[in-house]
Amino acid sequence: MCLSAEVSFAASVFLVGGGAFAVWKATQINLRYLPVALMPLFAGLQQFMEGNVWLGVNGGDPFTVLWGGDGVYLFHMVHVADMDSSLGLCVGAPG
Amino acid sequence: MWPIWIPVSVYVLEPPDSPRKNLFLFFAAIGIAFGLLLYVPHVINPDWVEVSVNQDSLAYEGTMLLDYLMPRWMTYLIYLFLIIAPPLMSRYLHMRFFGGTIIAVVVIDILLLRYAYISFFCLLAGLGTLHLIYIILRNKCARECPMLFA
Repeated sequence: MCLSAEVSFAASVFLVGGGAFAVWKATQINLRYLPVALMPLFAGLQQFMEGNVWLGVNGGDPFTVLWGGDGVYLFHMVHVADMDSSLGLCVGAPG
Repeated sequence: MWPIWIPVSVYVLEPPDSPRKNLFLFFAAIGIAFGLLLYVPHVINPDWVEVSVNQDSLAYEGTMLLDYLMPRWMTYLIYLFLIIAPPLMSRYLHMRFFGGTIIAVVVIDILLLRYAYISFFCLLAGLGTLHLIYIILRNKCARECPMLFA
């Protein structure tokens, strides 16, 4: 999630754990499920990358922001296109 | 990633006799080209990745290579089509439900974006993938293809 590094890392653990369990179940039930089972795992990795973006932003470390940002871009195209913070409105399309 | 992986996942799940199976492979091929056009330029040009904090949320902005070829809304439209259409066209009812889940995530996210709650998109997307865990654990695809998923 985008709220903080802690929330992102917690979501990462939750999704990677759930994804790993799904992968194990897929191998037990039918391997056709395997690509589907990997999706929560990937979502968890995306959250891990986003946690790193937070660490980079909070610590003023551009390299970590870039590294994590590239990881987030790998999974999600973009989160927000244009912002009007003065009105508190955000207009864009989801990634 | 998702414009490639979702069509591939639906393709692998689809039974061999499905007339739409090759179409999913075609979507995956488009997804590979589309995904590479979106992602590789950001690796080559780090300046194109812009991250900022807005209302306690991370916001990713910047340039896309496709901006030089088409309006941004069309890029979004192709992206959404590639992640929504394959599950909606699946043989399996519960994969079609998953397509509905993605639509719900997008709609709710856009509505919440209008009220500035942008940080909830990632939460909803994560919850959306949990739907897939439910499908696997309950072996929901056995409903249409009991032999294949016995």
